[in-house]
Amino acid sequence: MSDISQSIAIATQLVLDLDPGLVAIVARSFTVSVSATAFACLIGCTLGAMLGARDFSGKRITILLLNTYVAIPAVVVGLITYLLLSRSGPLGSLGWLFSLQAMIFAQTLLVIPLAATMTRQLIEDADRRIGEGLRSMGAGLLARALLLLVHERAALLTILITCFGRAIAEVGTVMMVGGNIDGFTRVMTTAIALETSKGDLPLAIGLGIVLLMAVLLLNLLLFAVAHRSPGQEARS
Amino acid sequence: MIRINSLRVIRMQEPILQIDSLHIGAGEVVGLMGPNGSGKTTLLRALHGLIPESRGQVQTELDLRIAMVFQRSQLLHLSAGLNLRLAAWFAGRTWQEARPLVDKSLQNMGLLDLRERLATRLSGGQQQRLSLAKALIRQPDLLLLDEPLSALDAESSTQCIQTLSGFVNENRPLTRPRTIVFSSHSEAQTLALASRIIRLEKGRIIEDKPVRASS
Repeated sequence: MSDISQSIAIATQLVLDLDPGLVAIVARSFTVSVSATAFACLIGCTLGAMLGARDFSGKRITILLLNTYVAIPAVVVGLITYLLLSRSGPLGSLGWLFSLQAMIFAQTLLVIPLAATMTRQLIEDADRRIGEGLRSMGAGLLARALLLLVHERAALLTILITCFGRAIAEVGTVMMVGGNIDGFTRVMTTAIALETSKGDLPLAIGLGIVLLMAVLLLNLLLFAVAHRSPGQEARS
Repeated sequence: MIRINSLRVIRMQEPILQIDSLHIGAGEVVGLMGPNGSGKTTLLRALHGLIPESRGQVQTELDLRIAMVFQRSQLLHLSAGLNLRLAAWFAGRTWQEARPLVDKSLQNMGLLDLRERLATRLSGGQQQRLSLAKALIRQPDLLLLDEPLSALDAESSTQCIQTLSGFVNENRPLTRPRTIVFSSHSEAQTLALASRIIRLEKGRIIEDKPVRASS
């Protein structure tokens, strides 16, 4: 117990002193996860909105496949990404394996279905409520999907946070395609896993504290943005 | 203007609207009456082409501009002004052209002070007036209204009836006269506005008669 208390004390000191090693890992984690969330939400939310605003034969099958894709274990996504990016794979010529690009690519693939599924459900519900009003105005599929996204922007922020949470908390995928190389592809989650297995608890706990604080701060920031902009307040 | 032939709308294997023949001419103001579930809303939606799974024909003139006010507000979670501006934009106005039109529409509906307020935060009556303004800003040839006055107090109802009467009677040389089809539960409101009343029951027309103008 005293070991744990001592580790927490050292970890707190590392955080307060802005330990260069810790800061570098945190910055790298954010670079990867923010980029991946941005790409994934851009693609996933657009796909989900189009899927939610449109009725077509085969929609149920598409939704079923998408839901299955959400449930695929992260390591399987890591394996697929690894095969895609490996030297003999179709994207091997990019030379991304064991780089930050590979980690961003993998996390993007991991988060796209989550963004698409959540957005699809959100937009489908909104379309049921106000879609006829938009059709009546003459809005086509793309315009309807975009306006419904704007209409549901408060809920969209929640999707964004959820996607970021999924990306930054992920270990297996980035470990497989990034390689957890010290000073190069080591991020918070892979560092926590490694340091814990080595028994170096202070750094692991320190990174854990930063991870929790970062997610909390992000939530607070988004909450403030959603409630401050005129005409943009979140619905209760 | 609109001709319906053998229209059938079926939901859950039950016919909810069956109309063998119906013609609505340009310039008519048609009031649809009937109890809940009689098919008034379904008929309005079918006239607008919002029920793709219906059988039969709903023929409208080419280039007919249609606008509809729905029973439940269909406003975007944006400011009242932006809702109207988008409606004007979709009707072919430029973003700049739309601005004075929006102010005029809001003024006509007594909503100018609420231009920057979120449409979805307005009261039921204000939302209904805004929805009417949104439909009118499109300058439609055919205006479909699903119980447009249901959430309004007496004063607002009178104001809206006057607005709608003005809309129908507005002189539009070189273009077709305007047509309104609306549903209502109120006999008095229907008589105040309609030139023709169609009564529906269980999805069928049971009465179709002109309204005599009161002297």
